[in-house]
Amino acid sequence: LSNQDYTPQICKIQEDFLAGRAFVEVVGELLHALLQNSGARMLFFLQVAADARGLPSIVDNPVVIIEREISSGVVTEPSVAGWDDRRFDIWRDQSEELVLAFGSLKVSDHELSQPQPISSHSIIVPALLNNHIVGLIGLTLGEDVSGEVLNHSAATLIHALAVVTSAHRREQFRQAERAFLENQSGLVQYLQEITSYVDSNQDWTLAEVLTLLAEAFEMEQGAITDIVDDRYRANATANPEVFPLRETLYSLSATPCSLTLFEGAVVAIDDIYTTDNALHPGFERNGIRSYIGSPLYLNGVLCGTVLFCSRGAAPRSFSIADQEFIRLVAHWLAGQLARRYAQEQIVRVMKELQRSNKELDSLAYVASHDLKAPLRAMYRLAQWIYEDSGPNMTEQSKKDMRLLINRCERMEKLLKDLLDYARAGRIEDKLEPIPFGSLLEGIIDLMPAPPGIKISLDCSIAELTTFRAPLEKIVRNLLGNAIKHHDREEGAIHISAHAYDAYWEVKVTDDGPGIDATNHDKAFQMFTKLHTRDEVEGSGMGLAMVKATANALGGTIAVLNNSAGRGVTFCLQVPWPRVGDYSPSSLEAVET
Amino acid sequence: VIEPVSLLIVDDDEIDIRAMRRACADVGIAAPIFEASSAQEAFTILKARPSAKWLIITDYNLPVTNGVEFLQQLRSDPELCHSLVFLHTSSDDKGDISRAYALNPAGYLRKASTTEAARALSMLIKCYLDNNVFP
Repeated sequence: LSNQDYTPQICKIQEDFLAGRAFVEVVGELLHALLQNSGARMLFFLQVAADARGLPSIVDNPVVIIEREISSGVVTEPSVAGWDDRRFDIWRDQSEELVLAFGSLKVSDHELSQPQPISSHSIIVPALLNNHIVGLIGLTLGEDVSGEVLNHSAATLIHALAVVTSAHRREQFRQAERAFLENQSGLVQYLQEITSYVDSNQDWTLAEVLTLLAEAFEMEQGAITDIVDDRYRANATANPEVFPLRETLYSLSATPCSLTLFEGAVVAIDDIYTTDNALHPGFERNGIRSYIGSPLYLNGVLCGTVLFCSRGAAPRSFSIADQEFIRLVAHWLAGQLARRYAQEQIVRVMKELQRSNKELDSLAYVASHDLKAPLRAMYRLAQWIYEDSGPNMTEQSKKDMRLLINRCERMEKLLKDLLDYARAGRIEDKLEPIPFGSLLEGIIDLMPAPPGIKISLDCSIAELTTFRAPLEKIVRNLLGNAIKHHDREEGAIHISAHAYDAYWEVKVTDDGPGIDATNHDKAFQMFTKLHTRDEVEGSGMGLAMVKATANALGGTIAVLNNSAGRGVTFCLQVPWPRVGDYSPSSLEAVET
Repeated sequence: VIEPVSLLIVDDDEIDIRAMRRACADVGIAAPIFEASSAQEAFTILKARPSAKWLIITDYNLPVTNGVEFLQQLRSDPELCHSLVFLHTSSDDKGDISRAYALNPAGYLRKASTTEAARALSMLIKCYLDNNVFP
């Protein structure tokens, strides 16, 4: 026997594997050829692989045996024997050592790496590939064979079978890989289907998604569960009509998901009866035999599980692809749930906001109304006293009475402005197309101004869709301020309105006393006045209200010192609205 | 001979009544003025003088029974159903106004916020008293 003799044979064998022939068949053929050429009496081969501890263990039950009948010299067809064939036996002894028994001979673990003579004409040798045992070959030659021939034959055999075995392994690996890829691409397809369904259907339900996913895992039932303290509740299930998850709320330890939660990772059980958890109450009580589940983390917090289960064993064994898939599904579902909860939260907050706005509105109204009544009474009483007893009062008392009446008037104005300010932050009217020029002209016409103050207008905006009342309020206030604060008999106020790419703008420029640059921010604060009340009458809320109103329009208001000459410019800038900037109710008004 | 008409002012705010009295005096209304601070009190006064002629001016926001409810009670009372009633209020609420007019008041007068307005209002009442034929 020599290597060369078998090279063509080995090549053919590799081809056979690629063609998908069974391992036992191919090995049998090789043994047959070897036996034909060697004159040996018997050959057998058994596959060996390292177990979890790295110790050799027999992986495949079949032992390929081929023999030559002593009487006729005819080589039998290769046959397959199991361990129940008493010529071979294998066990682990008390010290956990692997023992192979061939007739009366025993070979233990540590001896397997070396050829072991069984008798003068028999030998058992390890087939080594990269220093790992891949198989054991037994060889029995005729009575008249020398030890040298025996060793040589064994060496050739080892080589041939190592090659064959590695080819077999490769093929097995390839098949597994193909199955994995098929499995994975099938699952990916499911996920694509589900996500596109969810993206295109606002009203998707968890039950629908779970039903599709259960199909992907070939499971009868699917569920998303919530952990509520140490209790556990099925939040949504796929097929309650197929079989219900019996209780809606139960203690955590009595659920199939307790394993998943305990592990904090994906758990896949093809068949609970073949595991150490065969008597697990969660499986028994729900009649569940197969299960795959993943913990569900919402915003980083473990909040439940997503699981799929069946009453029978899993139709296909859960692969790594399945486990990876459910992990992804849990991740994706958590995202969807978080989004859903966030939307619900927004709706809640919006409602709350509306409610508190309403409350604030009525509070502002009640406060201003209820404060106004006693103030009004004081005002009138002071006036009556002044009317009835004025002629009899001292000059000082008369002056005091006038001051008292004046302060009452101030406070009345303050209350009115406070109510206006409380309402400025909200826009209650509808969007409408506004003829800009005529609106501004109307404001100018109605504004009482001393004859020496000239108001000019430069408006290049023909029409603009916005809210009328807030816009009027802002312009009227700014114009009123410019007139009120003007310190000379003669003056010019200029209003300009122009549209730009990103925003539209209204400017009110005066040539009055101006505002010191350090006070520009202060001007917009509530109750801030840059003049004493005796100089200019006002509540100090006008510009605060203008700012709040501008903000409600989505715009900004700024004050600038004029670069040439005296006075200031107030500049309102409002960006063009984008889709969704306004509530549906205000947009409705535009259509009607 | 025109029988004298009495004025009944129903208002829970003493100052509003005082203002009304001042304004009436201002324009020279000679009719006797009665005061009530609630609908119940007003009924007591009206029932005590069954043959008298009245012009009733009632506030809207009265405690317990409001102005419109008071008017409703008058309209359903067989003796007082023809009463002439002005509602006198600071409410601009459209609902309030239409509820009031469903009961045929003589008018819906807005409370005066200035001395001039109060004077104008009492002028109206004086003209009404002088020229209207009461039932």
